Amino acid sequence: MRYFQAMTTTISNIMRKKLETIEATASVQQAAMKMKDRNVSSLLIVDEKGTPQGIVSERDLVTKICVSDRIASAVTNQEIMSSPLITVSSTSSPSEAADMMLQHNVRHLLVIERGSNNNDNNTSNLNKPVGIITPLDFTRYQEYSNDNEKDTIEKILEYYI
Amino acid sequence: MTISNNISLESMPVSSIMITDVKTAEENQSIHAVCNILYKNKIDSIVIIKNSSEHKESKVPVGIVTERDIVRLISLPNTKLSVHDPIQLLMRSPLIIINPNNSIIEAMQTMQQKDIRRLPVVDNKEKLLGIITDKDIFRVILKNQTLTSSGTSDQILVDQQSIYGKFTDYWLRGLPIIP
Repeated sequence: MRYFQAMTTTISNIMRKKLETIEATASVQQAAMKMKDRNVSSLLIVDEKGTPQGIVSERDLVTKICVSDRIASAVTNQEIMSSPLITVSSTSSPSEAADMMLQHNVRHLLVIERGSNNNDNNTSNLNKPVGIITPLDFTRYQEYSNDNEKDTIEKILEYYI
Repeated sequence: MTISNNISLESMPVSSIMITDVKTAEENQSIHAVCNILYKNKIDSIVIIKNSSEHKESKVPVGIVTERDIVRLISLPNTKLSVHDPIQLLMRSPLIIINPNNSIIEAMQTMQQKDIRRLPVVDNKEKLLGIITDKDIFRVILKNQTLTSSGTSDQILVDQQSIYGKFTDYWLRGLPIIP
């Protein structure tokens, strides 16, 4: 079984691993500073235990702070984040991820690495966020395993790009 | 868009794929007003033009503002700049532009060298004709894979592939993730 998995491209091969996080209770101004410092266009919002809660993107700052003329230092990330997060397992195939994007009508999926179930004492190891996948990442995925998969991914690229 | 095999990124002019419906704002409009335009049109950048009272005949571009510039504004802890100030205080200027007759390869090279993703297309009389973005170029490449292998000599072929490869990496690096 493992041998066959290794032979196939999974989401973990094509996802973006640069995943910057900030706490939900931190201010939007702090989020903007982090985006600028780390040169990223979105941040994963986590609670005090590090559990993913949502995403804040550059567009959220424009539409929910600037347009409403709110003071960024007085607004928390929790108030403006997009949630719930749609997640996908790092072992999924690109076409499974593409299907999920179409189903939920979202442009990003949080990639989760499932921890081993026998490690019951350490639940934080379960469902660890490891990356983000967007439609553009599929362009890295050159070799389609079959025509059906090719169709799904081309459809999603057509839709989003 | 379908393009026949004998056309290459070197021969295709920027004007053939540019977007002509460019949203603009005047340099004396407030940052707040510009954010509203971005929001209502669901766009991530806007070209700033000279005030229409002074330039009635045509749009003269002077700068550009992207979502990232708004992030920059919000991240400044003790700034005196407010959303009610004119956009000219926040915009990126001078503007890096491209001529409509330049090739798509030249547009790609300029984007790479200057580390930018959008090029306003401006004629010799400083008039704004359109805008070309990395997405527009990528879309054309994606749909016409033959474009990147249509060089007439090995040398050109290698150069194009290298630009295409770098461009792909560059483009995928930090694309906004927007729900």
